Amino acid sequence: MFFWGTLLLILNSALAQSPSEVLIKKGTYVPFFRDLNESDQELGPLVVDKYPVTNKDFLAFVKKNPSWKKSQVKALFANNRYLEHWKDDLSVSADIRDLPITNVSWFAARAYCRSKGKRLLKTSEWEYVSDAQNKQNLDLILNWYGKTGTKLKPVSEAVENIYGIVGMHGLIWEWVDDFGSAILSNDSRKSNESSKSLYCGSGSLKAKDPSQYATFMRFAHRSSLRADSVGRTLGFRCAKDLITDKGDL
Amino acid sequence: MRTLIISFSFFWLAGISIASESCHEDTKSTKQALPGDSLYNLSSEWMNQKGQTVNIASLQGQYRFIVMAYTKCQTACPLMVKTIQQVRSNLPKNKNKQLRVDVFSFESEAENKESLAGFVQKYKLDDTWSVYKADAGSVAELAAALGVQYKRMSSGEYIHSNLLFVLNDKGQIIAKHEGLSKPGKDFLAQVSKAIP
Repeated sequence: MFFWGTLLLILNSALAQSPSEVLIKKGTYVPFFRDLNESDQELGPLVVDKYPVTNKDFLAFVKKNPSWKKSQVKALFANNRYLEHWKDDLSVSADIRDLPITNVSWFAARAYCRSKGKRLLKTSEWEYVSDAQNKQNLDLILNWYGKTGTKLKPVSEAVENIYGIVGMHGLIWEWVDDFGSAILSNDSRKSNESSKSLYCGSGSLKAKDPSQYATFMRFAHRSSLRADSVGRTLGFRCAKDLITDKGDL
Repeated sequence: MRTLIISFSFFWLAGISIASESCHEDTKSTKQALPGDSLYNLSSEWMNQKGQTVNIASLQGQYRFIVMAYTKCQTACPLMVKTIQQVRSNLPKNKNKQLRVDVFSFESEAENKESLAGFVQKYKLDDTWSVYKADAGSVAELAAALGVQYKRMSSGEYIHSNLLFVLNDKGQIIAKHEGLSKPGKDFLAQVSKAIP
């Protein structure tokens, strides 16, 4: 009896999402940059965090996983500016608790999501659920990209998109699991040019619609990152695959 | 009295040096001794061409060439193999002897023991070479740690950066070569200087 109860509970938690999560039904991502006959990508169903991870959330994670304290973290996993806005290993001042966590590396973001039984979004998934190709969003996005040094605000104050996901544009940049796939070269196998000319210069020529400069900015940004990089406005959110037999999802 | 103080301090100093020596030995033998920037902090599990499971952390203790590729690759791989063989043949024999070569595949699905062994056969690689595969997560982490960018095409081919690394016995990168061209004298000198 107890066993079945537990099983039901597990099934329920796998199917139903909490108020802090958003269900994304199966969909198709149409790549913005196509490499060598790259095709459209099927995705979902997914459960995506409604909000980016906050300083408060990340503090709880670090308390449970001391190897991610800023005094303990391995140089391979994060550079020396990791969590530089925290006073010390385990104190987060009240005024930043609800701000999105930033200054975290890809390895740290990944470890956090894994601790929740989740993962980072793939590029295709991030682009799809961010509703980035909706022309109505373009002004918001470009306006925000144009500003530098804007103050971070609490995640709950950011803009909610058509899927009900908050803060995908206009708050922070976000890590994606496959950030290293943002290769915009024609064919790296034939080239021995330096990284810069490979990944930046020629890339813009492959954009499907050059007016969507914003998407190009995100791809260029991703291709400039290293896994130990951190940034004052670079954070993340987690997601998980939804395993279901409901065909309509 | 004076002699006593001198001899006492002599023993005292000797004692310290012995203590620090043994302390050094201790840290050397434990895993904690890995430098923070060592690739072996990843400790992911891989399978080699003999079907053996190898933890990447167990590769410490030897100097290594590290590359990421995939066994079906047509264009870059022959060049990559040739480049490594050329560099090795230009090194003094006693230094080359200390080197191993490890090829890590991007491909986590299609690769198997036979395809890995096939790669070794195709290029007639000696037993200082190993070819590995792992799950997608381990591949992503290794590539991320090395700064190797890659993308799988629907054809099963990969677009990837061509980077060749030389690691010291502790797993730190001591030399790096980008591209498919023959590495210059600087690279050779760097590798040669780093290997004792």
